[in-house]
Amino acid sequence: MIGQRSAANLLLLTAGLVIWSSAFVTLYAALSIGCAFGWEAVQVGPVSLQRLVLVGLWLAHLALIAGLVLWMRGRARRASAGDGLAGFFGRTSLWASLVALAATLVNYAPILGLSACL
Amino acid sequence: MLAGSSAIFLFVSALLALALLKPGLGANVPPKRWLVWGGLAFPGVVLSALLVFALATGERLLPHPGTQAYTVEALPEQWLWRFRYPGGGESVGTLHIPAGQPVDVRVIGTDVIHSFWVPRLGGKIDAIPGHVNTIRLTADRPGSYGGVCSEFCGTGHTGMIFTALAHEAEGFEAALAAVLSGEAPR
Amino acid sequence: MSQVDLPLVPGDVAEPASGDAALPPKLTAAQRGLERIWATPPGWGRLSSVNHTVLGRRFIVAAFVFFAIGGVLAMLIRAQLASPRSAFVGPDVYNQIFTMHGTVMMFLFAIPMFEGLAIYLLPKMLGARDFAFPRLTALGFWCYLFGGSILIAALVMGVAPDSGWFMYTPLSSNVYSPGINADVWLLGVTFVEISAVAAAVELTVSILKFRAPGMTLAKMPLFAWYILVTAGMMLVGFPPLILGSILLELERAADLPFFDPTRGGDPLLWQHLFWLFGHPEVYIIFLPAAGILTTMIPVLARREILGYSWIVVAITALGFLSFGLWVHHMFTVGIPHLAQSFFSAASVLVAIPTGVQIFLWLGTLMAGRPRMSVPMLFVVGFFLIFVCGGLTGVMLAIVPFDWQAHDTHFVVAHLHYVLVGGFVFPMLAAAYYYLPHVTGREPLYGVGKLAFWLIFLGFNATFLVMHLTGLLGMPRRWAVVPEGYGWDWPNLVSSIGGFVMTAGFALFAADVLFQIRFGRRSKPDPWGAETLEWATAIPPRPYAFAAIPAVSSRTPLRDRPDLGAALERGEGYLAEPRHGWQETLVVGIADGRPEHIAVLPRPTFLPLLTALAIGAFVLSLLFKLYWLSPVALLLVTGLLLAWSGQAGQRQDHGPLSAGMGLALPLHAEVERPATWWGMLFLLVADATLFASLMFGGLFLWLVAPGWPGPAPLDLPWTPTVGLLVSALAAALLGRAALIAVPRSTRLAAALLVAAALAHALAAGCAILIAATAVPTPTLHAHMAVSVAVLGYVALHGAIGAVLAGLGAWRCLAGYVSAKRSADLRTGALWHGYTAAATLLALGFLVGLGRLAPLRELAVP
Repeated sequence: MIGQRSAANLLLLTAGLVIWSSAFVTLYAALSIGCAFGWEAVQVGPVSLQRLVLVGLWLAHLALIAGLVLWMRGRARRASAGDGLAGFFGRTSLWASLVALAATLVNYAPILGLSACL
Repeated sequence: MLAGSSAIFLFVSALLALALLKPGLGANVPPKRWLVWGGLAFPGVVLSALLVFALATGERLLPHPGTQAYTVEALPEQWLWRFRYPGGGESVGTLHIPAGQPVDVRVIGTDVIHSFWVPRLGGKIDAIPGHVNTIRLTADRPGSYGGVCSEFCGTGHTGMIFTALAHEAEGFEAALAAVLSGEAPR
Repeated sequence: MSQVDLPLVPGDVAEPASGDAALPPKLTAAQRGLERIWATPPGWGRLSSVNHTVLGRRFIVAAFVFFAIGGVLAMLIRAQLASPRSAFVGPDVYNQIFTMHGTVMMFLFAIPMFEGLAIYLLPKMLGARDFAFPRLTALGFWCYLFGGSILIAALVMGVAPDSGWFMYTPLSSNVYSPGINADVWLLGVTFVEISAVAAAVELTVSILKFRAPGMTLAKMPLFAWYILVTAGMMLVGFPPLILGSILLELERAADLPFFDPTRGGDPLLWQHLFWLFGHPEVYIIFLPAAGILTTMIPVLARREILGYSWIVVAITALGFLSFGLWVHHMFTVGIPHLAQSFFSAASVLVAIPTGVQIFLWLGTLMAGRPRMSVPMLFVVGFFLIFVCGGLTGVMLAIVPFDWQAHDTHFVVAHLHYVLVGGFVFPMLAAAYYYLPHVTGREPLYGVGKLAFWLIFLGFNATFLVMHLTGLLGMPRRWAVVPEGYGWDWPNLVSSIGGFVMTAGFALFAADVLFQIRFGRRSKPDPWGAETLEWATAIPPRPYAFAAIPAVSSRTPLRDRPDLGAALERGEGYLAEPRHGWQETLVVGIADGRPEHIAVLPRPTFLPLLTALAIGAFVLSLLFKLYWLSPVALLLVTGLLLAWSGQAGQRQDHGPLSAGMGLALPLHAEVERPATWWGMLFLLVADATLFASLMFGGLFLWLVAPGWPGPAPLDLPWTPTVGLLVSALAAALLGRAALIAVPRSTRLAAALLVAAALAHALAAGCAILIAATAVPTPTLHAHMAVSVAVLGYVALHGAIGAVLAGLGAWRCLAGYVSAKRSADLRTGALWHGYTAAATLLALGFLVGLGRLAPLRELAVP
């Protein structure tokens, strides 16, 4: 199945950024739902339920991308020995997942500080 | 921001001019240097700083609960501004506020989308039917400030203006009462 | 095997031998054969063209005509605003003018212009003879032309849309815009969007599959990468707007309250759907322009582009990040600051991949020895203007600044710097760069330089000062310039600048016409470029390549400077015409290994007729002749079915020679031909539309006033189970037919007939549920959303029934055999998707019903 393996290369190129998108959608949804149902007023230990949920979702996505980056690194190393195309996709997919990791880190960092529902 | 932007613009223009006037100048620059310094490090540093500053400023401007603020309601409709005060009195076309203290304007959506904006007092906030948005303004000194509808709202959009009149805080209640009872000019 | 009548071409009959250099070189016998097969018929036959070179040119010319119309509207705006006393129309007409200026420039100029450029260039860059779906290209063109014409006709008749190009509800609802103005926008633009989605599917499949052998994705020209990302973004970016337009039109025509806050709808839903499209749209416009810059800059600088792989990563990132910015158009609608910070951060992040590209271009220019020429002038103009626009864009991404500048002329200035700098200047550069390719003639550069200076200086005079107008507080969309605010002189400067710029564009148009008429014949590769599009004859022949080259690097023409002449001599794949077939090669997605031969459809009037039928449907909705709508819809279905008769093979051919010692099967005999991929990407767009609909439902539940609705929704048991079972049965029967084909095509046909019946039953059940469970959908948005979801399911069942029936017919008519089962595979994709969507839809309806009462717990 050459065709399928080919398409998989493109899917892996976008994998990290897909996780970034998932983080975007779930965090935005969780924030909106939390604000609507008053999670901000519920205290869980030192923080509000709202912030706990947000930070939890954020860390879960970060962990997912970090795992992806590690896997991509192995793949890129293996591919660099192979032909040019595998090397190209190994490199670009690794970089793209690194970009996704950085974007996920920066994009949602404000949940650590800003007031949630104002 | 303007100075920073101008500097960046001049920097890019200078590189471009060098490329055209001194061909081959960059022939020995390794490509990675362009990527890392020009593409990643330079915008990364500038933009992070800007973002942190922006978010901090935005946070400061929010109507945090707990601060004592005078609250009025704005009810824009096609194509006039109606304001309602805590006592239930209403005025049209002129918003009366006390100077020198924060004022929360609760902007209530009625017919179509309008947007409340007094350029010299602060940012703008939309009036969306079915929603109420609050914006916090402070007029530092008494005076008259022009206000507009800044969201396109149909044929009368251009003429949908109002005045925000800031009164001395001490005599504000009296001045407002006088206006609302029709004794003072609106 | 199809017997086709082939027209005569010049060179068939004995021609006087001539050494005149002004005449194109004489064609070989094989080339004459190809010419006969690929040529567009003359006279009225031109309307039947499906050729990418012809259609690409038509797209570009039509887009430029709409650009001129949009430009005239812009001049009217500048005349109105030149001074406090120069207003010559009232606000009602002025509102139409600026609404149409935005609409025309966005939907009728920018998108079709890059589509035209991509359609013209891509097959030639990729070493293919045409696109995967030539008739779809033609349908897209006609839909665009007719949709655009509806909008312009409305403008001429004075009933053009007047609620702004963003069409915010409730201003665009039938309470506040009772005329047909808003309907014109919703229907006309949706008509044009069909064209855009068609183009997106076409471009995606063609880039992935229709390339020269050996051109792996790592050796593909960067322009194709840019268009691939753009097309992917269009597949996901356009459906939200199409959905929004359909919902708003349903609200206007059938009173379903999706956006009406008094009945559980919310105007904010429109804004989300609109900007979910609207911001990616900016990058959808910018990326192709950036792609053409990446193509031209290395050639003009005589230096290979720096960082091929980095650019691929940067634009992939850009494609995703640009979907995370849409709310930055909505910072003033009252969204929590934390949510705004996500969008603000994403807006800032997106500047980084853009910066990477800018610096790699600059690096390429500095490393090379750029030559000054008219295209280079426009590239320089791009840099200066676009960088300014990018910097003001970063300013606007800063929330507190945006609270001030939002909806002032500052934003108008910013967006023109981005769009004119980032799109129009690269397109002008590309125009001067590629004109020799299109016309085969050398440009006359003196006029081009003058045009550049007029446009560049005029542009800056208009929009640089407009930043100031905005900072001085002048709001957008004011019909007059009031006196006494200091806004007079900046507006006057802007107006003068605008007219200078227009003079520049007029000069450009005259220059192009002059060149087509009087230019000297150009040599084959005037710029010394190294990519395949310059290996064709110029002007290109309808078959683009007399033989398809094998590619082994990113710069095929550097490897072999005489490649063009070699291909003309037939040294390559598929050089020998046969059976009157339009043949081209199809390769593996990533590795570029040749997989099969595609036989493409020949010129036909069907796309034109189909577009006319769709136009009749649109007009019937516009003029509220609802009795006509089903008739038009039946006509559309019938015509689309007629497309099928011209496609496919009735016999097995086995491996055929592709030249150069290679034997490959025909597209009909492979597991996954282009149609399979086309269906897959169409379903991606379809699924996005469905996801947007479900997002809309949940959004209303969470945010809209007036929830929960008056009555809970109860799904009736019998039809619900019936819907579920029949939808699953249709999918399984579709699969079963595929398995049955090797044994008996008659059995497969019978199974497909059963699948069609199951689909029809499912559609019937969905309609029954809607009729019984939601008797009054106009009561509340919850009801309206439920009806919309059921309508989506019913529509998919109905289309599934038609597709399954078509499959059965093709089995019986001999188009299907054990080897030729791809038709059924493609159909099975639809059947499977429909079953999945039905399952999801029912789950969504039940879930929304359960969630609705929870809204009472929400904090007010």
